Amino acid sequence: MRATFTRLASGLQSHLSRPRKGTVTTLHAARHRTRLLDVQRRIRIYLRALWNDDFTIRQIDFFTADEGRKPFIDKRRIYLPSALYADNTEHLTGLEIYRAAAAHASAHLMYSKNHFLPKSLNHCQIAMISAIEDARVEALAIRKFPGLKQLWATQHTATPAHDKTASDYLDRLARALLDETYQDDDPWVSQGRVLFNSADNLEDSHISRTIGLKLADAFQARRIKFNIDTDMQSAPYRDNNRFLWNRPGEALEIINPYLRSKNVLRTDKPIAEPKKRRVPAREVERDKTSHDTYLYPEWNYRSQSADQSWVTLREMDAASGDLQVVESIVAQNKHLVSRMKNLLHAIRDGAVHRIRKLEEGDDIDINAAIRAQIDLRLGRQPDTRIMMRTVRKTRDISVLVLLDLSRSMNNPVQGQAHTALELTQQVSVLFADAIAAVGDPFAIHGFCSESRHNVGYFRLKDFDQPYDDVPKARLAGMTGQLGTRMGAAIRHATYHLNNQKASKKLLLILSDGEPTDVDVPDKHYLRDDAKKSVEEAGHNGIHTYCISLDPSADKYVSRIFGARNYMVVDHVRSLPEKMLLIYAGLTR
Amino acid sequence: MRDTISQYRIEQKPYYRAVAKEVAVYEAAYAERMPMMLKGPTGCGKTRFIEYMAWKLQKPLITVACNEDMTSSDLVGRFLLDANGTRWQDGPLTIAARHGAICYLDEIVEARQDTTVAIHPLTDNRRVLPLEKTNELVQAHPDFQLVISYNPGYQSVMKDLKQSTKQRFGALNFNYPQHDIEVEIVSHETGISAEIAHKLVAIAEMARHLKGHGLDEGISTRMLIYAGTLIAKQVDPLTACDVALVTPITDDPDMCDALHAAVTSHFG
Repeated sequence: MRATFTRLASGLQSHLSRPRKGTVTTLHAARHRTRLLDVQRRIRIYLRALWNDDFTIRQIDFFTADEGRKPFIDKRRIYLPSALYADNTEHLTGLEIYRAAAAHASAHLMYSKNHFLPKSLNHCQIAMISAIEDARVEALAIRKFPGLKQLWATQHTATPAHDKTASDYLDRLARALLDETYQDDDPWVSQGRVLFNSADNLEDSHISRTIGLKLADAFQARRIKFNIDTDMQSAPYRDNNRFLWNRPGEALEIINPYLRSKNVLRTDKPIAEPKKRRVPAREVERDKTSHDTYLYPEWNYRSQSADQSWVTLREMDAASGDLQVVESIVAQNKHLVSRMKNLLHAIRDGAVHRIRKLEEGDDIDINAAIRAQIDLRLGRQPDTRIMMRTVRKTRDISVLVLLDLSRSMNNPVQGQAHTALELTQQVSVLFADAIAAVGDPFAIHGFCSESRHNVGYFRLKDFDQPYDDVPKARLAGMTGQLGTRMGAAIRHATYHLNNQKASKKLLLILSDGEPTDVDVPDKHYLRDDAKKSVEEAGHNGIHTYCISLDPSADKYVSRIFGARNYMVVDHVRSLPEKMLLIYAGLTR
Repeated sequence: MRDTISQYRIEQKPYYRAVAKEVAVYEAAYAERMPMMLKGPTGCGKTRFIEYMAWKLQKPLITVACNEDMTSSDLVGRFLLDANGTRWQDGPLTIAARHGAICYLDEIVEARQDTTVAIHPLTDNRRVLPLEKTNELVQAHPDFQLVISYNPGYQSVMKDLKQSTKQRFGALNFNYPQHDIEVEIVSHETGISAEIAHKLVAIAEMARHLKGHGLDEGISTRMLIYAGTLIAKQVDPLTACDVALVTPITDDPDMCDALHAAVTSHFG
């Protein structure tokens, strides 16, 4: 404990005493930084493509000391550093190092089936056996995927000029075993090469032990000091090989005590129990009127699995407001309503449409045919488009508008006098008016949340409910409070849409910001869960579209909803009209 | 009238590499004129198979690519104008039924359900095609057979064949061929060496691992042939794979990147 404290203290001291100029360098480096969070998905897809197997990738905790920043494997999970910096000299990007590290670690998981026993071995022997095992699994992987050699070889930088420490020699051996074009005349390195190349069966992990021991003997004869803590291979992608020496089921022996601290445990269970807090009177009142409780899973991107029955969602009665509000919204937007009429007319359910002037259709258009005949008899060129086709237009669509009713909706919209909630209210009223005129079944629901135990869901208007004073009063009474746990709300909206019989189902989400909640400090967690819930809705045949009022939403909205399924509204005056246009486009 | 049908005859032997007993089974089914359904992912050789069988059985083949705007007139026929008035023009299905061809409806699920019902009377023991507009009942020629293709995978749940349609057909399941066979096909079709074809097939197999994990459909044999053709035209293999395999199959940047990396693990 004391040692850890001293190390942290000295680290802090050195950080504080760093000259100001260093900050500029740090900023510069940040531009070339690759974060694991940003590339984790591509790495996972890549490994699945390689091995047809799913691997769990986690990030090494921030508090780990520098020497612990090397990738490692524990219980079939691959741990990689949380961020990597591009290597300017070798033109290596952080992504390439991540990819190489993931490929190397997965090769271990595929080919290092037998674990070695460290009994009666010294540190040098352990390091040598590990180095040969690294080369062995890489050779096997390269046999299957020849391009991996290039990926790994670019990350080895050892040359014969490196001849000081045991670490230098280990690097040279590693490079020599991987890359046959690498020139190294050192007798020990050459011996390693010869022994490795003459091995009969690379599939057999015992050769790593045999060759490793021989090389360790030869190396010890050179009397170069060997220190297990510092003399490791320096290629950034290689893991610390501790995995090879721990039998499955045994706890992983890790140098740094922090790796076992609560910080890592927290990544396993990302959501801490919410603290007890005073329940506002208003909420108690709501609880009384809650109808049904639903349990929903939530996607945990760290473990890449769904936590079953994780979120409790309650359907609650929405408060009613003053009907006047709704009426005044309609009255204020009369010009808009009249402009929307044309559009509505176009998308309204028309029984049979005749498409005329077709070269190829189902029937002859008599008028056009007569005209063509007259032209023929007059010796003129007739119009050949004399067919028509009858199309029966049926609108078979259900739409659910899901409103974000979180606290942030009370903030004014950027550059506008009214709040996001007022805008949402206005949009929902006009939209409801318009859709009611078209005649499509529609529902307007809202949600807010306070931790995973308490997601509130309000059915302002239901599918089978006529759009009369009751839903109008609820629209008038909407308020914004608490957080935005979007995934659970989308799952519940999916549930409601699934009960609809329409062949096309549309879920329109109106939100002002990204998913957040009091019990989740990690932004990525709820985003990934929301993305997952959108995918699930897609599997149920539901098209999801998001209208975001957050001007900086581009970054995350496209990740959640897909590149074509969102719109960030920057000038809000035309929002109701835009929303109708989207609706018309999506339901055509 | 002989000319109408003769243009549908297949003169050249199409290349088809049998993967299982499908040729023998199809021949038996044809002997009974049993309507057949070819199921399988896109680009795995369904259309090529039916061309080969038509050539082998020496029967004309009429192929109709179905789309969602297709109506029953597009299959059955319609009235057209000529100098003397109106004239009935047989649709592809009627031509096949009158003259004894194999009628192949490609991607039948794309067509609207009311269109697919038009084939029902031809696919049971009646073997007739009622032409409502001309008030005619076309008795199918003894050589006539109906074949449809159907890709159960990528369409959403909403696009599916009705049970009443499905149950009129015998079905052959197609999938991507086994590794060695696919290598043989790719190198035969493109002229590239077996070694490069082997790499292409290995890349396709990697992408097929991702089906359902972000990809709706794996890389098909057809795509491999495109890639191989580009390579045979001296295009650098990495570029050829990007153009023919990676970019067409997905719009997801993460997926593109991972697939590109998968390509470099063979053509590094």
